[in-house]
Parts: sequence; structure tokens; C-alpha cells
Amino acid sequence: TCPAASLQSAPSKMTKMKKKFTRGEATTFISRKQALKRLQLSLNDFRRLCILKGVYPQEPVNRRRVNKGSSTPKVYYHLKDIQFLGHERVMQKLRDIKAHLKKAKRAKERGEMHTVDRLQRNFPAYTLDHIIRERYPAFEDAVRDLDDCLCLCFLFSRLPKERGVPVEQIRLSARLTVQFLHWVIAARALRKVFVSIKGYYFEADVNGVSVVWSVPHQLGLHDPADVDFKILRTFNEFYTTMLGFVNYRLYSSLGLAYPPALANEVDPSDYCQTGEAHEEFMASLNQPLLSRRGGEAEGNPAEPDDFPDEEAEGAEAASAARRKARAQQRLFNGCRFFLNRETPRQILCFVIRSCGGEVSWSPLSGPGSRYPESDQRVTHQIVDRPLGDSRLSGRAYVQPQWVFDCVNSGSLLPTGDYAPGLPPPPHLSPFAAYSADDADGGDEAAQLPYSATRSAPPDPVELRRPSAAAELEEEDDDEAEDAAKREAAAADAAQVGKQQKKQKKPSVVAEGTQRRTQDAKQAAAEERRLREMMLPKKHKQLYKKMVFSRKRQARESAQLAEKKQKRQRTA
Amino acid sequence: LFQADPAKPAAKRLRLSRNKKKTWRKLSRDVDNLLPEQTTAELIRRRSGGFFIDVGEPGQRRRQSRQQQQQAKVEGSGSSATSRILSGLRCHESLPSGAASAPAAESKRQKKFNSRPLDRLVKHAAAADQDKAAGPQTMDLWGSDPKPESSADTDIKDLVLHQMRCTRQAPVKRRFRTGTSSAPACPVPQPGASYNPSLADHEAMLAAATQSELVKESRAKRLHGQMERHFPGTAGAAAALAAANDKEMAAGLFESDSEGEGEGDDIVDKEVDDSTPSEPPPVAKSDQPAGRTSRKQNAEVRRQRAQAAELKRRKRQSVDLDRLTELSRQVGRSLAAGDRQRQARLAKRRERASGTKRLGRHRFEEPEAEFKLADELAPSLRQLRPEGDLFVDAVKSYQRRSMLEPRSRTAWRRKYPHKRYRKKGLEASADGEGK
Repeated sequence: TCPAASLQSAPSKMTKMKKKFTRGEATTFISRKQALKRLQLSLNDFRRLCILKGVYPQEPVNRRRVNKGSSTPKVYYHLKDIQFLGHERVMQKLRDIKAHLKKAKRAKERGEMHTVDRLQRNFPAYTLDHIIRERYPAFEDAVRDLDDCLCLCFLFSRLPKERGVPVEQIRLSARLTVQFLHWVIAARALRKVFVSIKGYYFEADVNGVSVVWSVPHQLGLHDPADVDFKILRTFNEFYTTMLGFVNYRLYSSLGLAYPPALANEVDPSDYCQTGEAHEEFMASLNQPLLSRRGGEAEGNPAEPDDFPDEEAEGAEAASAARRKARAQQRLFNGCRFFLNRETPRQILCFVIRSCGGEVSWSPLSGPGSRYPESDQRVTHQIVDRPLGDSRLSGRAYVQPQWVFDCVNSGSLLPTGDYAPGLPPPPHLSPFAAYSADDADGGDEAAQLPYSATRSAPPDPVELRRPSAAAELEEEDDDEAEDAAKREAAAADAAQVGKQQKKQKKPSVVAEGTQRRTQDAKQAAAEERRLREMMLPKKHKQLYKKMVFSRKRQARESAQLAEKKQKRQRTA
Repeated sequence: LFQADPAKPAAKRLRLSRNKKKTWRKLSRDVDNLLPEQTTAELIRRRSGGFFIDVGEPGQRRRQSRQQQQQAKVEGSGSSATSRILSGLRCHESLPSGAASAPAAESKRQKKFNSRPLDRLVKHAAAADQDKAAGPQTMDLWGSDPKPESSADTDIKDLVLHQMRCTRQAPVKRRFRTGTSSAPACPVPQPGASYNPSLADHEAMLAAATQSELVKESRAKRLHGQMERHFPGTAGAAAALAAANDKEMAAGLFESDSEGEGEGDDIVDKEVDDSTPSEPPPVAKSDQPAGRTSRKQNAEVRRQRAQAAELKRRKRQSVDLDRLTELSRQVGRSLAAGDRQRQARLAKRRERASGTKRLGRHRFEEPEAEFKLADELAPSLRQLRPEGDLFVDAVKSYQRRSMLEPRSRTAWRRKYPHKRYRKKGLEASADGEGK
């Protein structure tokens, strides 16, 4: 049929032209500039409000559709989110604050100081309780977000006063984090500790949820240029409010009074003024807390429940975890620790008390010391520097790493390995999954500490110990030769790595860390041989050198380990 | 909290006409309907019939009650006559208590302030702040006890109701769009980043660090190569320029330089000869003839091609009929391929949803993992020098979970002071023109 005829038979009413960008994604998203116009807020205020309310920018699937054909990069929000923001009372408060500041600035410039004082006294304040209740309708939701909260609060508690953050905010963060640590101590909730080059990483069990947070090292902070402190302050403002409520809930679950009070009277005379005594002694983490009914809180840690009738699948792993948790809770029961001045006092006090131990330190280090160094009942003394002859009998002298490794393993490790002055065993990360092979000591060379292969300068004081001296003597014999070889190996490794990184990944040591079946091993070996054959001639030499040096190193470290074991058996 | 007022029926959407007078009249009628039924003024008006009569005993000053005394204090600024009349008013039984109490004499500004609804709410909020200063209503935010309704909740309700009346739309519900990212809030570093790592972990960490360095190096090398290809000699150009600069600056300093003066042309590239202008490249001649003949020829060629294609299609159709089984197998394969593509697309979508979103101008870049070389490892915890910054980690963690968009610092733009000068021509004729 002719096409013209079909047109004529169509109905005469024309459908409306579909206009582009009037439906779908184009109407569900709104750019930040449009949102600012709609809400009549400045960019800073808008950012604060978004952070407080938990409204985050979104990425539309097709940016061109949303931007009406253009592809300029913009930040988009859901329109409904922005409409939801419009109901917020805090928004009006932010506008009030802006108006207030304008008035204060005008008064200050005019020299009306009495007006400025009056305005400062009546600064508009707002609370975030309703926002927290809206964002976390149940306590469990808040616990799931506790990671973020704790990390930021710990960071802010360590800030110096000159950073431009209000002092009150820093002190509030410090107070709340100390309260949380007290709860962890009372509940014996600590499960993992990892000391990294960045900071300390802890994991605790809060109401069945694993919460991981980081604490920076004691040394001074860097001055990062990329960090916008205004934004972090707003996050911290929200999180401090949330942490206050979470702490209350956690304390009441243990029957502790909140705001927390110290159970015993403290004498602040030597350390601080009476007004600061409560904060200082709380921060020492060494005082028991008052329970709700009055009197010292009994140590009733929440023991993990026993479910004998569980599915076979996860039952073994779950029961093992429960057993380990119970062991960790009673780990240092009956142990008395004394911390030397050079050790990280607050961290160690927290870890030791969370596992049932008692701690003290020299009164010169700070408030909270409970017994002196000469106390006969002290079982362990934590030192971090080479010791002289001044050792008291009846106690073990260990490095701080012993405490952390004990907590991670769930048992008391032999203290001989961690004697001061000796390089301790490696501090393995409890967050990484090592296979069962390592537990059996599958590849000894792999798990040896790096320090065993390094030429550490021998400590003259330590040489007085006969065993240590003998060990070091043997090392000194071929030290020069070894050093040269080691350097060559390192240089080779670097060179080879640079030149043929894609073809070969050094897996001499890594192989030992994975369990492989016989077939898989064979297949892997064949693949490696193939790749070796495909290497260009120039690189083959370097590769051979690298392999040789690695094998030699592995052999040496194995020999050292054997020697150590022999000595331990005889000693 | 956001339930609609049950007393009022759901209002219909107004159809506003362009006739403004009628529209206003309609709106004002509706507003009247929405206002509370009986204001106190209306009540008084109704009950008293519009007239007030002071029935205080003549010659005797009425003993003022404590409440009236307080009111008198509040309305002290008003005129004595009105205050006397108002204070002597006897309350009718049917009036609600306090109906006769006169409001405090408001200044004009206060009246204006109180008449606007939003400002009224702000006043409520300001009043609420007084008790807020004492602390939150209750610390037990998630407790099971019924919470006393705080003024904050009432305010929000008021605000929402007001908005509903104005916009005639239900309030927007909370949408939880967070939690899509699977990244942990506090990422723990790799085992090799321990302060006292094992050999294996440390090696693995260094290997990873080397990999990233090599990737960076290869990218730089690729860029370098591309530059060389398009602009040959530029790689060495900077070095050559520097060398030439040094030579020029050191000219005449040493005895030997005075002999080799003729070698000053080292800088000039001898290969390039700028004396004669280069010829333009020859134009490639097309095989097609132009003009009317070409068009005819093209048409003929096209017709032949079309015929050949038609023949081919018919032949293919007949062949296809015999190949039905194979064709069905082909179809099955293409369907399976389509299915696989769909699965891949869904997986990609899921990955996109759980990964870092692209927000704004800059892409999120994973931070380089901090590491310590073998000779930098500390023999003890006391001698450890920390690497990295946990503040940067926190910001990166927010960016990774798409809570903050990556931002870069704007380069500091130097502002030069404006210089004023006069054009040369104007200067000369300045006296004459007087511009």
C-alpha cells in the first residue's frame, strides 16, 4: 500500500510533542547551585546542613540527561533530599547565626563593645538530638556507625589548641572518648590491637558488632594541606553529640552511672586543680567508676553466650571465636603491671585493664598511679629501653609489644622473646587472615622478623648476658660479608623489579603462606618456568641473581632460627 | 510526627484563574476557613454584642487581684484610661478565662514580627532555647519510656503543618541513601605496615609499593614518548637550552673560548633550512570524474550495485531456508551472548553502586599506602617515627564512601595592582581637548 494512504487513515488528533528533560532523571536530580538557591543558604551553611542531616551527593547514571545535554561536571543531589532538608529547623538556626554574626561584626566595627558582649552571651544555639534520632532510629544503627564516630573523636581529642578548632570541641571529644574507653574496660570488650606505623588500631565488640577505630601515635601531628578542617569540625560536632547518647546507653547497660563519676576519692594536689581532677583522673583510665546504685561497679563483663545447638557450618568458627573472647577477657587476671616512663602509658593501661590486669606507673608520669615500682606483687614490668643491672627479682621485664601480642593471640606468650634490648618477634596484624599453615609454623623463614636478617648494632649493656653475647658474636663474624651481599641483593631486587615487574612477581616467600594442592603447585611451577623462559636475555641474568640472593637469605634466616631454637631448648 | 491534621479534610488543589481579583477573594475565603474558629476577640464581640460597659463601682477603687496587678505592670506603657477600663472589665462566665486580659502593649515592630507565621515559629524556637541551655530533654534517646514531647518536636510539627497548609502537599519522607558503599569506615593498613613486620609481610608491602611506582614511571615514559613522536627533539631541547645558556653566560671567562668564536652557531639547527619557502604537498587526484558525466556514471554504478545486492539477498533467502537448524543454533548463541552481556551489565551496575561514585570535577584517587623501607624500621616502639596522617585518612575514607566529593585547592591567583596611565596621543592633546 502507498504510504500516503496509511497517513490519511490515522486519527486527526496529534499527540503532544515530548519535550526533552522534563521527566525521568532530569527531574529527580538537582545541582548544588540550584539547591543553594532553593534553600537560600550559603555554600558553607549548606555543606554543614548536609553533613548534619546525612544528605550526600549522588551520581546520576547519565549525566548529560540530568544536565540537559551539557556535560559540565557538577555535583548533584536528589531533589527529594533537598526538599527534605527544607523542613529542618537547624536551617533556620544557621540563618539566625549568620544574622547574629553580621550584627556582632557591625557592632564591633562601630566600637559598641557592650553590644558585642550582649550578642556573644546570647549566641543562638541548636541541638542535634532530633537529627540523631531521625538518622538512627534504633541503637543498633548508631553502633554500626560508631567506627567513623570514634576515629574522628579520637583525632580531635589529640589536636593542639592552635589548630583553629574551638577548645571546647577538643575537650568534649577528649572527654567522650575517655568515657568510651572506660566502658570498654568495664565490659572487657577489646578483641584486637594492631600497632602500625600510622597509629594504633583497635577492635572492640560493642553489643555484638565489631567496631574498629584508630588512635594516632603520641608524637606531633603533621600539618596536612589537603584537609578542610571546617568540614571535619561539622562531622565532629555531629559525632560528639551521637557519642554522648551512645555512651549513656552503653553505661546504663552495664549499670554504671552516667555522666560517669569516680568511685573513690582522689587527691589532685600534686597534679592539677580540684576542678580538673575529675577529668584528669578519668583520662588516666586507672580509676574504677561509680555504679548507678552507688558504690564501685562490679566487674561483670558481658560474657559471650553459649549456643550448643548451632548449625554445623559456622559453628566451629563461632565457638572458637567465643572461646578466644572469653580467654581475652580473663587474660591478665592476677597480673600486676608496672609501666616505665618511656612506654605509651594511656594505650597500655587501656589494653591491660581491658583484659583484667592491674596497672600502675611512677607518680611522676601523671595522676592515677596505684602502687609504686618497688611493690613486691608486681609480676610484669614494661620497659622500652636497654636496661642496666637494676632489675628487681620476681617480675618479668618485657617490651610493650608483648602485651599487644598476648591480646591478639588470646594467651600469655613466653616473656623471654620480648626481653628489653632484643629484637622482638614480628607483630602480626590480627586483622589480616593468615592461613592455618602459619599457625603450625609452615614456613619459618616467612614468619621470621625482619630484624633477624638486619645487622642490628649490638647493645654494649646487653652483651653482659652470656647467651646474647654468644649469639651476637656469631653474627659479627660474617657481618661484613653478609652486609655487602645483602645490599647487592636488595639492589638487584630493586633493579630487576623495575625492569621486569609485569612478568614475574617474587613469590619465593609468598608461596609458603598459602596452602596449595599438589596439582595446583605443579601448575604454578610450570607457569613460572614458562615465564622464565620467555624472559629476555638481559633480564635473565638479573633474575637469576635475584633468585639466588633470595634463596640465600631464606637459608640464612632458617639457620638463625634453628640456632635460636637449639639455644632455647638448652637454656 | 508528620501526620496531617485529622480535623481538617484534605484540601483540593486550587485551580487559579488569571483573574486576580477573583483569585484573591477565593484565597482569602479559604484562609478564613483555615483560621481557628473563634478568636478571643470574636468571642468577646459575640458575647458582649460589640459594646463594653464598665460596671466598676463608682468612687471606689477596685481592689486589683494579683494577676491584674501583674498585667498592669506589663501594660504599663499604655494610657492610664484604657488600662483602667480594661483592668475593670468583668469577665463573662462563658468567656474562656483570661479572655479579658489585655495583651501587652506591643510596639509597631513587635506587631509586625508577630503577624508573620514563620517569625512566630522562630520566636517559639528562641523560647525553647532557654530550656535547651539546661541540656537535652533526656539522655536516653533510644529508651522505651515515652519521651516527653520536647518543644523541638512541637516546633517541627508546627513548621510542617504550616508548610502543608501553604503548599497543600504532604511533607517529603526521609530517604536513606547511605550505606550503599561497601568500604569500611576505618580501613586497617596492610600487615606489612606494622611497626615490626614479618619478612613476608614487609616484602609484600614493598612489592606493592614498587608496583605503583613502576606504573607511575611507565605513564611518565609513555607521555615522554608521545611528546617525542609529535615534537621531536623537545625532550633534549630543555637540556640543550640550559647548556647553551651556560655557555653563553660563561663566554669570555676562559682563555680557550676566544679561539672558537665561530662555533656560536651550535644552537641553530643545521638540518632545518629556512632560506627557501617549502612547497605545499601535492593534492591527491581522485579517480572519479567530476561534472554531469560523473553523476550519470555514478547513478549507473549505484543501480547495478543495488541490483546485485537484491539478487544476492534472494539467493541468500533460499539458502537460509535449508539452513534452518543452523540458524536456530545461531539464534540460541546470540541469545546466550545477550544474556551474558546483561549479567555483565548488572554486575557492573552493582559494582558501581558499591564503589566510589564520581561526584563533581575530580576523580577519587586512592591514597598511596604508607610504608617504611627496611633501614627505616624502628628497633623499638619508643624509636618509632610515625608515617602518614590519620586526618588525611579520615577525609579519604569519606571520599571513598561518596560522602564528600574530592576537592582540590584552587591555585593562588596573584592580583596585580591596577596601573593608571594615559595614552600617548591623549597626553599631547591634553591641554587642547581637556579630556
